[in-house]
Amino acid sequence: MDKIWEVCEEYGCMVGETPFSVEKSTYSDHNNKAEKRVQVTNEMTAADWQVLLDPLLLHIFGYLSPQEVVRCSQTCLTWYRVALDESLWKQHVYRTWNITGDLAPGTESWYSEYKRLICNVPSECYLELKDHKDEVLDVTFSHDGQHFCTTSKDATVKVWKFHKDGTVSIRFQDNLLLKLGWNLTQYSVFNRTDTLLLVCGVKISGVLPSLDPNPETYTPMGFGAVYNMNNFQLLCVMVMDPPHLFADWFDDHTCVGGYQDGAAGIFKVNSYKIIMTFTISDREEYTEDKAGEVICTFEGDSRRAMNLLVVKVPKTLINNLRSNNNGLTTHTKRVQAEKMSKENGKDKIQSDISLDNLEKLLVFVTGAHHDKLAFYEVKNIANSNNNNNKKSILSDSKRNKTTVSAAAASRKSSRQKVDKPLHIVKQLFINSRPCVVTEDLEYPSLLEDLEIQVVDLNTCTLVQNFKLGGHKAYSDFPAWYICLDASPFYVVSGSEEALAYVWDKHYQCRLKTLQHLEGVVNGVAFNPADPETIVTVGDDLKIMIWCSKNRLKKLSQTCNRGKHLLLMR
Amino acid sequence: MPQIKLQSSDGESFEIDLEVARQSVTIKTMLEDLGWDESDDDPVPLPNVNAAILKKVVQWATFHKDDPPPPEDDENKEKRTDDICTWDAEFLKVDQGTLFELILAANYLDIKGLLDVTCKTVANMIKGKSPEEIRKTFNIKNDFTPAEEEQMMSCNCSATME
Repeated sequence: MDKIWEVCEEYGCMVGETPFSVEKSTYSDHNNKAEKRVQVTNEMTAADWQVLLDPLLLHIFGYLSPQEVVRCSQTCLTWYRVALDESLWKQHVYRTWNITGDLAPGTESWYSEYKRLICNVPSECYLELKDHKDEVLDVTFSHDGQHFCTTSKDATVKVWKFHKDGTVSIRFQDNLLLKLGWNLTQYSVFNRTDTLLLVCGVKISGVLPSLDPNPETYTPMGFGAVYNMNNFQLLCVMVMDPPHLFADWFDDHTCVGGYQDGAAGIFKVNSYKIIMTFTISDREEYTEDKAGEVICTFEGDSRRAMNLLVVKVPKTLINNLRSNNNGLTTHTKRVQAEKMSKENGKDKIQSDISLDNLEKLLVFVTGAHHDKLAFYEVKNIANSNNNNNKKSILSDSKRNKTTVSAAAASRKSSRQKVDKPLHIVKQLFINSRPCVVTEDLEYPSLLEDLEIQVVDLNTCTLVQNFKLGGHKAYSDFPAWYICLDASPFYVVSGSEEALAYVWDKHYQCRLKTLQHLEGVVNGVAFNPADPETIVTVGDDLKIMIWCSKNRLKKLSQTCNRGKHLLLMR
Repeated sequence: MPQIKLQSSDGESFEIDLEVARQSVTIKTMLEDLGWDESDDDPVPLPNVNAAILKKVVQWATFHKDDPPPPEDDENKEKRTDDICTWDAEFLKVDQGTLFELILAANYLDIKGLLDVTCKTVANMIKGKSPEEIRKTFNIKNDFTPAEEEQMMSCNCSATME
């Protein structure tokens, strides 16, 4: 008998030795809150739920939705403490986004992560602009987040002022069909100080191949035009060919873009110095730069080279790259490089921008099936010769031969900044589509599933175990125009199914899809000053502005104070 | 059918089928540890459960004695609360005090089926209610300071999370 009692006490750990009183206090309904408060206080010692210890309360909360748990947390201190239990919120995060794994580094708790993933992800369209007369092809933000620029098949370029209250108005616009005879404006990019805007476009001579028995006459020519952002004066027009190579800013006053000098299989990357002029006159004067300075010469099919972008990486990273021909560095080296780049970043934040300790890589897509990424180092643009170039080519060996990637490296990747003031890029996001190469077809046939991968620019290798997907594309080879952008937490990409997709970078899960009316979502961009805001543009002529639930709440409050804002949802 | 005697905290004895009693993992383990056999006539004391609650527990366990063992919880699936059977729903039409004591007893006796169904019942009493309505339902005293309350409404707003 004694023995049994001992064992029983061992098990009786939950509630202690005293059995609970069966006395019940039943409260009648009181409409008068004050009266009820008094009564509750008096009889509080008998409040029934208080017999439940935290683990049991937690078990009950386990049956509630996140919203219901939050409401419970607002009732009293005990429920607040239990409702914020990490095990509960870890489960909610896992369940809601169907993920597993650890908390993202540097984040506070699963509860805060749940809140972030619900409330701080751009998900609500609060403004829709329909101003372009044809498909909108791209959107890009100025680095300070105060402007964004849209380009279109209507051959106009429009710079929009992004006001603090979330409203938007046109600041500048120009029609490049009227001015320069362009057929479309493809994309645009601000220089680092947002003083100049480079607009790239295409001028087509001849008629479309489908309408002409002799397709030879169809010749697209690429151009770049630079505007002064103070007065939107056109400063410079450059031939930038092949058109799909595009162009980018090398530094604040130098554009780089492609140039073909006629020899088959050779194309060059030229630099163009932009001279700021401040003439105030009605008649616009601009320079036409036909050749520029050759900074790199590449052998390769210029028709298959595209999406040139300039990324700035710290010298140490380049040294790593140089030290290893296989594009592989040891773990230790990489850690050192990261550490140094961090220190560099911190030091330089205060002392403004010095590019002395930076090197630049020209990155573009190449290969017969757009299946390779080329990285070229450019040391010094003034003394450049071909010996300065260190070549590194990345091709995904896993997808060789039968499934090769037709990659569209997004220009937007260059805005994936780790150290913002220096614009150092450590990761390059690429959108790609698996493709099947067959003997009888000149071009590979592309599969519909897009996937996003990341290139680590420390090593110029693909980051293993990183893949975002789910978005679709239907265009035949070559398919260039599925843009993507990344913010510190999120990645966004367009698709050819009238949707933009938003993923979380760390958990690699899809958070939201942003719905356009129809067609392709051509361009997507985070506001660099507010990563909770995204602008998307598409074939449906629309420019849509999205913000997080959190931001929308604030905008609605501003709205009530008299500002006109179209709140769509 | 072998019988076993259970004794409540207030000294009352209940003679029930061994199979019914074994739904309690606590009792089952206890009997295994002690090498209990049918000839044993001593009652098993349950010092944490009074007679009124033990009677309810026995009633529940008797009705559910032929149930298949409850499935393991799938952490990644949302837990349902709308799957309470009619008998249980009727059985749990009790005052809150009894309901909470059943939760305690189910937890102490380690009867997963009873613990789940009682907790689901409480969860259902919370669902769809505002914080103030929840307080009213359970006689919860709002012990936040006005400052805490204001802070909560601004940063922890459930409306934004919906």
